Parts: sequence; structure tokens; C-alpha cells
Amino acid sequence: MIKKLLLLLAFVGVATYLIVGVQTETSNEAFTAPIKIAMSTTPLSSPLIIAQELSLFDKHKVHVELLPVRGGHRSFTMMSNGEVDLATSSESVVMFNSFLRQDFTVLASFVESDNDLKLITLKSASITEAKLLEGKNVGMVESSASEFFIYAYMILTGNKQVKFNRVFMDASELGPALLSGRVDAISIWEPLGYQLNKEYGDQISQFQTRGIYNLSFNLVAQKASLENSMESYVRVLAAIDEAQSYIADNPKRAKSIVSDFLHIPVTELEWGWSDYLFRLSLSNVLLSNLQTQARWAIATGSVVDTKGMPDFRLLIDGRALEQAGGLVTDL
Amino acid sequence: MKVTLRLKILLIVSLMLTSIILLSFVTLKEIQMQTNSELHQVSDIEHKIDLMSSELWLLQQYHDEDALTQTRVAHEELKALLDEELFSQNSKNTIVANLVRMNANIGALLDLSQKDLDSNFRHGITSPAGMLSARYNMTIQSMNEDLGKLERLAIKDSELSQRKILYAVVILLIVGSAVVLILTLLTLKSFSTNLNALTLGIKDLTKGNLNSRIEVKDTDELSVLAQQFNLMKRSLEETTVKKELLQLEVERQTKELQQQREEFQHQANHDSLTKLYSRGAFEEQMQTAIARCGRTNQSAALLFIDLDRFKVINDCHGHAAGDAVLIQIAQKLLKTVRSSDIIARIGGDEFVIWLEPIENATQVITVIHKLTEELAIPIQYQDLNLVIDASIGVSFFPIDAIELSSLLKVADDNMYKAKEIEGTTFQLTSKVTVGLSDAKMA
Repeated sequence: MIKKLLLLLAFVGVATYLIVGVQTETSNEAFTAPIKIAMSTTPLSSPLIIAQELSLFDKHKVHVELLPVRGGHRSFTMMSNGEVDLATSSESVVMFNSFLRQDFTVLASFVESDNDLKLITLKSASITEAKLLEGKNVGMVESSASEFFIYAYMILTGNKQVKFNRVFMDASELGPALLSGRVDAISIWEPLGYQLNKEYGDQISQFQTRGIYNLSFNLVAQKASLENSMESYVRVLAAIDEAQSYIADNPKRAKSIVSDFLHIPVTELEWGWSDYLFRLSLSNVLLSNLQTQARWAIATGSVVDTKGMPDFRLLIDGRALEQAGGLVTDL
Repeated sequence: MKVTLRLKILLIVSLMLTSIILLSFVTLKEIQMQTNSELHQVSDIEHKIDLMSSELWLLQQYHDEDALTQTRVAHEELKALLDEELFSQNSKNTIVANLVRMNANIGALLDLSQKDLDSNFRHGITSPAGMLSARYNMTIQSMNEDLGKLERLAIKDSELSQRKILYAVVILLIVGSAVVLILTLLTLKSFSTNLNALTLGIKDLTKGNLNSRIEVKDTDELSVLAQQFNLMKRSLEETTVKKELLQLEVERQTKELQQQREEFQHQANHDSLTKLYSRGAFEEQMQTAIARCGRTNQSAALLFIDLDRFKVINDCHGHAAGDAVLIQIAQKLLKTVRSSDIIARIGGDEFVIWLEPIENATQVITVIHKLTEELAIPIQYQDLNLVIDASIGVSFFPIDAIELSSLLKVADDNMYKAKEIEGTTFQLTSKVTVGLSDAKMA
């Protein structure tokens, strides 16, 4: 009778395995070479931070080194200099650089925000409307979202004709420049806007700019590295995808991890958190955004020595995202 | 496990399996309905976004108040719809929240369009209309992207739940069927084993074998039946053994009674000391003997023997000595006469001997001589040599008498006569004495 019972159990086991087990995919590939990512120290980089802190890169069998840098434009520079494999940059940075070089490619967009950039003035300057910026000094980071944002705002609010002086500087210098009166207004991204607000809230005022501009943060790689590192990039994207699911399911814990990593209080993080849309995608939205900005850049002369409009389709490569199981639409 | 319990479990498991199948159908139906409802919701949102998208196109084409109003209506409708949409999963609600925000952005952009209506309408990216157009397009595309994601999520979730239910049902059915199979096999085995054992037991009983027992290994009903069968067999065996023992006992007691009866008869017919016939038995024997002699015309003689000086032995050496003497005398008498002759002790020291047949007195006298010779031999008792004399009276049939009492009387008289006459040990009647020399008396 025991033999019969063992046979039955074996039968049940095999049947269960055939039904359930076959569905489970196994991945036993060896770790690949380390991937260096120059990561902008902004909450927009949260998916990367979470993936790193929860060892999701390890889980997806890819060794990743995160190198924190101030701003996506710097990150892009490091990538193009070959210091790192991947950069996290806004589409504005991509757009500006596309006029200079064609040796990079956008792998995926991993976060969007419709309220990441802020236009801030000193209360004492009494600049209550956009048209009052006429002849004023406006601080911004050259060839970045900061630059495009102020122009987009002026155009959308029908103040295109208002002439102001562009004062380019580093992101970290924008706040002190405004407070010291060197500039009358600044176009600045978070969390710098929040920090300024928190410390000097009584001295500054902020324009209502939500929905004016949609910022996206993208993972950018050198085209040349694509063939050799495609497998690793796929794994990086898969880890980011899992990190984003974690953020959606455990927002509180995710915020705490990011706050610890960036050394900023959770309250500061909360400030812009609801503006973030964490999702891996690569669609015509990005293409549209890049083209819009490029057209503006050409029209306003923000870029010089151009050979005309770049073909952004050549600067976007959806293969890695597709393999990672993310969203790639209309490309 | 008891067979009824097994059957009950089988019934319950079977009912459970049926319930699971029914429940899974109901659940699948519910999931399908929920999926359908979610897909309908997605479809509604899609429809509203499409509507707003076409209104926005009109706004961009005609750039007038009417188009803007229509777009605002579409925008508000979408807003109302999104506000009421609620999905079961967080991930879907997150997407809805995104749509709500993007729709809010459209709202903000519409406000800017309102302002732009008043200005000179111009195309190009550096014009508000151009920039707005780009923003509208981007936002609508983004919304469509999210919508697609929402749709895929709804379908994926439904597939996942359906698959989960399917797996659960398959596993439960496999496990349940295995339980049913095992229980059935066990019950079948138990039935066949126990019924075989019972059949063999009954066959054994039919052959009359009461010793064998059915081996009981389990505690189920059939095993209980087998146990009861064993008990019945033991009881039967015990009853049979009792009957046989009783029979033997009856036989033993009957034999004992028979022996006792024979002993009593022997005791009644014989003298307890000398084992010779008692007086009563002697008389009975004599009736037959006299009748026989009368029928066959044969002669016979009756010797009446009385021991002399027996009283003295009794008195001098005690009754034990007397008894010993009497036993020895009886031995001597038996030794001397034929086995067909009848010897009896009819008094304390009186014996009678019936000699049959006799042909003449000489034969009798020869016997008497043999007797007196034998009796003359002293009897040893312990360290004593006891000498006994006997006086013998004789009577003859049919010469002296033909009846016992008369024959006894004649012989007794003759015995006394012999006692009275010194030196004489025996006495015959005169009639006989006369014809002593005759060859034949009768």
C-alpha cells in the first residue's frame, strides 16, 4: 500500500510541476561587468536609488555603481567623456546635446514631472507678472531644462516679446545669486526650489507654473557601448522597473530610503513627490518633447552652428527597454 | 479506519470537489464580470480622451471661443469621469491619478489658450499657440500611453486571477482525487482481505474445524464481524467439549455404579470374611440345584461341617485368630472339592457343601476323607500352630430328603451325631449306611 501511496504522491508532484513549474522562468546567467551610472542627486533619481538600496541590481544580476552628480547636464558630460556608462538627464539636456553630437542614445525615460522646475523671484523686486521681467537678469543653467523652461513659460503666457538677460551659472549658485541680488529671477529645479523656499520663504515668491512644462528624466548611453553592454542595460532597466513597482506599492518606505540616500528630510521629499510620475517608457511623447524644444532652440537661436533639426529617432533606442519588458510605444 | 467512516470521508471529499468546481465557476464568472467592468471603465475613459483630443484639434485649427468652450466641456466630462473611477488595484488607481493630473494640466493649458485667444493668432513654436499645441499633443499622447497601460493591467490582472483560480482548482482536484483514490483502494483492499478471511473461516466451520481462528488485523466493521465469528467458534468449541466430558463422566459413574452394584451383590451373596456363599445365596443356589437334580434324576449330597473347639481358639487367641482360622478353613474346603460344588458358610463355625452329582456314597466318603485330611493339617497363625477338628453330617438327595430344609435338618442331625460319637468325624443316615457298599444309591 505504501508503494501505491508514493506512486500517487509522485504523480501529483509531477502534475503540479508540469502545470505550475513550467511557467516559472529561471535566470541563472552570470554577473556581467560593472555598469557605472552618473546619477543626478535629485528625487527624480529615486528608482535608481531604490534599486541600489534594495539590491535589485544584484537581484537582476548586474553590478551597478552609482556616482552622484549635481544635475543631469553634468551627468551627460561624464557619460560622453566615457567616465560612466549611463547618464540620467532631462530631455532638455538631450535636446541641447543633440545639436553637438550624435554618439549617444536614450534607452528609456524613467520619470516625469509636470512641476519640477520653478520660476522664483525676490519679493523685494516686485516682479509679480512675467512681463515685468523685461530687462531683468534671470539666472539659469545653460543647455538644461532650466533654460528651456523659462522660455517656454514666457511663450505660453504670451510674453515672448519680453526681453530679459540670461545669466548662466551652476545650479548650486542660482539660489545665492538670487538672494544676493546678482539676478532678479531664477529658473531652478527641485529640490533646490524647495530648499530656497524653506529657508528664505519670506523673501522670495514663486510663479504658478504647474503644467507649463513636462520634464522627463532619461537613461542615456553612448551608442558605441550599446552592442557590448546591451544585456547589462536590459538588466538595469529591469531592476529600475521593479524599483518603480516597489515605489508604487510602498511609497512611505521608498521615500524614507531616498531621503536617507540624498540626505534630505522626508518633508522636503514629500514637497515634490506627488508631482513625480515614475514609469519606464519610451514613446512619441519624448520625441514630441524633444522636437518641440529643438524647434524652439533653433527659432530662438539658443543653439548655434547647427546643421538643422536633428533626427531624434536616431537618438532613441527602444531595444533594451523592449527586452526588459517595459513600455515602448509608437517607436 | 472503519469502512463507514471511510465512506463518509469519501462522500465529504466528493461533495467538496463538486463544491470547488462550482465555486471556481462562480469565481471565474465574477472575475470575468469584474474584468469586463474594468475594461468598460477603461473604454469610457478612452472615449472621453478621444473626444477631448478631437476638440483640442478643432481648437488648434480654429482658435476661437466656441472651440475652446467645447474643449472645456470635454475636459470637464473627462474630469468628472476620472473623479468617479475607482479600480480595485492600487497600480490602476495610480494610473488614474496620473490621468487626473494630466487632465489638470490640460485645464491649466486651456487657461493659457483663453489668454492667447485675445492676442494675435500666430503659428510657430515661439508663439503661444505653437507651444500650447505641442504641449496639448504631448499631454494627450501621454494620456493615451497611460490608458494603454491601464488596459493592459486590467487584462493582465484578470489573466493572473483566472490562472491563480485555475491552478488552485487543479491542485485541489488532484489532491482531492488522490484522497478519493487512496480511500477507495484502502476500502477495496480491506473488503477483499476481510471477506476472503471470513469465507475461509466459514468453510472451515462447515468442515467441522472448530480450532481454527480468523486472523484479525484491523478494527473496521468486517474485522469486528470476524472477531464475533471467532467468538462464536470458541463458544461452539467450548459447548462441544463440555458435552463430550459429560458423556465420559456419565460413563465413568455408570461403571462405578455397576461395580458397586456387583460388589453389593457379591457382599450380599458371600460371606464377607471367607468369601464363600452366604446362607441366603446358598439357599438360592440350592433351589436351582435341587430342581436341576430333580429334573435330571441325579443324586447329590449335602455336607454340614461344624468346627470343633473353634470357640476355644476364639477365646484363647482372639477373634483375629478365629477369623484367620475361618479363612484358612474356607481355602481348604475350596481346594478339596470340585469347582462345580457349592460351598457356603451358614453360621459362625458352620459350613455346608453341596456335592453334585454323586453316584454313590463312597464318592462322598472319599471327599470327606480328603476334607478331614486337609482339615487335620494345623493352621499357622502368627507363631501358633492351631489344630482344628470338624464334625461332618451328611444328607443325600433324594434318599434323605428332596427339600433343602429337610436336607439341612438331616445333615445337621448327622453332624450332631458325629460330634456325640467319640472318634467319629462324620455321620451318614442309616439308610445310606446300609447301602454303603452299593454301587449306586439312587
